[in-house]
Amino acid sequence: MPWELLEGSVTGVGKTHSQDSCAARPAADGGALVLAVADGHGAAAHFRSDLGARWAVEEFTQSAEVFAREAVRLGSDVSKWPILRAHVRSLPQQFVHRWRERALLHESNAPSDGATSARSLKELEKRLPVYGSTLVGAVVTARLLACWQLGDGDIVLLDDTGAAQAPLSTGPDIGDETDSICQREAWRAVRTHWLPFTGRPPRGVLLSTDGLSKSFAERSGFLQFAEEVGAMVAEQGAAHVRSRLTGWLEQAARHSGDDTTLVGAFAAPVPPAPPATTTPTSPATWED
Amino acid sequence: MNGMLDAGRTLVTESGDKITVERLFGSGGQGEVYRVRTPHGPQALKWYYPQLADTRQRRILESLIDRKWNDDRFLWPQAIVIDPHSSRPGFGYLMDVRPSRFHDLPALFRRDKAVSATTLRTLVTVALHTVEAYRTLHSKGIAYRDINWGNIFFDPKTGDVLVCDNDNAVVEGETTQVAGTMDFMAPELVRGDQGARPGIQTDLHALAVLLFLLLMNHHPFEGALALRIRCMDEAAKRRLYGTHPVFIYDPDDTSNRPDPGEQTTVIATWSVLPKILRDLFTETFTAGLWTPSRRVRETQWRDALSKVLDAITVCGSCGKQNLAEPGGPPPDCWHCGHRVKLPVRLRITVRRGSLSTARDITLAPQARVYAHHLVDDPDRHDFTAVVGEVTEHAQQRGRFGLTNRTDGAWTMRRPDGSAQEVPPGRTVGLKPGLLLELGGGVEAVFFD
Repeated sequence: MPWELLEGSVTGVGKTHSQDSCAARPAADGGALVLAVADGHGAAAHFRSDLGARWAVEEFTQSAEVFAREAVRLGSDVSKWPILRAHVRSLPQQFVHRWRERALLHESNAPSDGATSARSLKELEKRLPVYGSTLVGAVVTARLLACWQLGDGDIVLLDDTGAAQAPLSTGPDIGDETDSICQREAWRAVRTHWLPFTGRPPRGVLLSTDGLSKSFAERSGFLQFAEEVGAMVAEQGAAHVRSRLTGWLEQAARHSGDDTTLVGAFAAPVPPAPPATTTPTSPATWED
Repeated sequence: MNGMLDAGRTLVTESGDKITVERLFGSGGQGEVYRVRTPHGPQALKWYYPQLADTRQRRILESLIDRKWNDDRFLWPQAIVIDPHSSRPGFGYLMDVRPSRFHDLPALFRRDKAVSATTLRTLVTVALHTVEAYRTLHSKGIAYRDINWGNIFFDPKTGDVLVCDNDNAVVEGETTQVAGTMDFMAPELVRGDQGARPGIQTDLHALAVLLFLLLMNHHPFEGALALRIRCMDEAAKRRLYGTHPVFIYDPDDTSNRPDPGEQTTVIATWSVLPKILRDLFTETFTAGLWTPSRRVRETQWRDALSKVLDAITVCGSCGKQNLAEPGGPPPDCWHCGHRVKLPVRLRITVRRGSLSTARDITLAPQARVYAHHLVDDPDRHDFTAVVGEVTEHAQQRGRFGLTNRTDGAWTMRRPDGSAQEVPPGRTVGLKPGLLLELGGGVEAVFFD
């Protein structure tokens, strides 16, 4: 796959540890990419959400790898696309189920409330919010892109001109309420996006926790940041962007106060371009 | 994000109309849908993926367009569109743009705010309209072949439905390829049984799956067995939907019951579903899995759904709508748990020759009597044709009556034999024993 990967995560200012988790890796013997970020809720009521976020990424990734293999196997046959689309819709039940099993097992073995006696399944289920997390994921193959989103966070697609679109955005967030993988039948709340590459494929895909977008005063500033990251990858290469990514995320985390994580995949530029002198507008510029 | 057609591209219909691509609406399983400008105003264009734009599909489209179907429940193909400037073969078809009041089923499953106006009454209405829409197709000898949750859109306020993606519909018996996805396919198609072909009989299975999803918000085969599958690949799906399908409420096989921790919605919705519908689902998802002739037909669904709709009642404690078994005992409210007190009901008797048909309507607040109640075998349930409506007395709160919403007078007959005219706009108190003559030989009696 001619794609370059980006992955970066920083801890929020004043926090002892991050409750974000992420993954960006090849799948299906290199025929696909799996991307994921998760944002553990972090408040006192969710004090094990760092674990919940890690499991959300791991379980999503495992389920998504099965889809990725199917997408690579069937993707060149257009008549099979309805099957893949149905798979996209059914995937949330699988990774939510796996996350839940894992959280229940952990809670049973290491009770978060210090209980020493055996507890019923119902009692264990009541403790699941301790592990609450969001999840944003994507699979990219040479033929298609599929995205899943549970709760807040962002998926940004950069089209062939580098313009940003957020296909699963539901508008401005109101308060801190978010859907969570710990809620009852969380799979119902997962939003999906399906994009076969019939025209010019997207130049890039970026997934981030809401710590990044919240560091911008305006939504347009966040989308412009994504466009500028994409432009910089195209002009100066992914290695250059990787070397600067942590600095940008730290700057964002200072403004949002939140853990901040970004993963991305960018179509590798075909001809090498001469270095440019532009830099992406930092989150602080829009915040100020 | 761009697709196969760039914005501004000019295409032509086979009749020579020029159309201009404006933007991509979205990508589907067979093609992409664009908003286009036409001489007749904005329309939608479905453009097939090149590998699927073959002569077989074109022949199907031409056949559908020739029918010039003008039914407001379907976004029917209107004209074939080609690209005169392209050397590559390709085509699509024009249809009307889906009005914004219609939403997809995933929005219902996600409990989107956009569909928050949905009530039990509108949900059952959606199911009824869906059944009638497919019945209309089937009665004309057309098999839809690709019934699934992506093809039905609904209005949460009225329960109106819109059937999209009608371009796989073919005349029954025509040799065609299998269409659709495994989770909606009849098991014999999933297994690839010799001689099994998509048609009206396999549509009936897909329709039942769709109705179950709509009313129960869950797939009928995705219980505990589905949750145990670690790798949901094609082989696993073939087993789940084809070789070993087990209805989650199969009375003789409990292996696939819903997981009480993870599939709580279907456990709750099934528990309040009237028996008349539970029996139909059980029949079609047990015997009907292996014997296609035992699949529940549209008229059975229609009659049962219509009765259930007429039996919907409102809890006096919390005000929530409740489903009740038609002619059965009062239910316990699904929301607050209180026993619902059944209001007065209206038994309408329609006579045709020596035959008479009776149907009961629960006269809960805002319940309505429609024109379709006054015929024995309605072709279609039209919920805009209101004949009577339960209204509350303006001065005496809690006192309800049935208001005449027709242009003609009813006649009311009391048990003592006296009679009184009920002109349009006037209301009759809901008193058991009162008889109403609604015109055309139709009589109705209030009863407890």
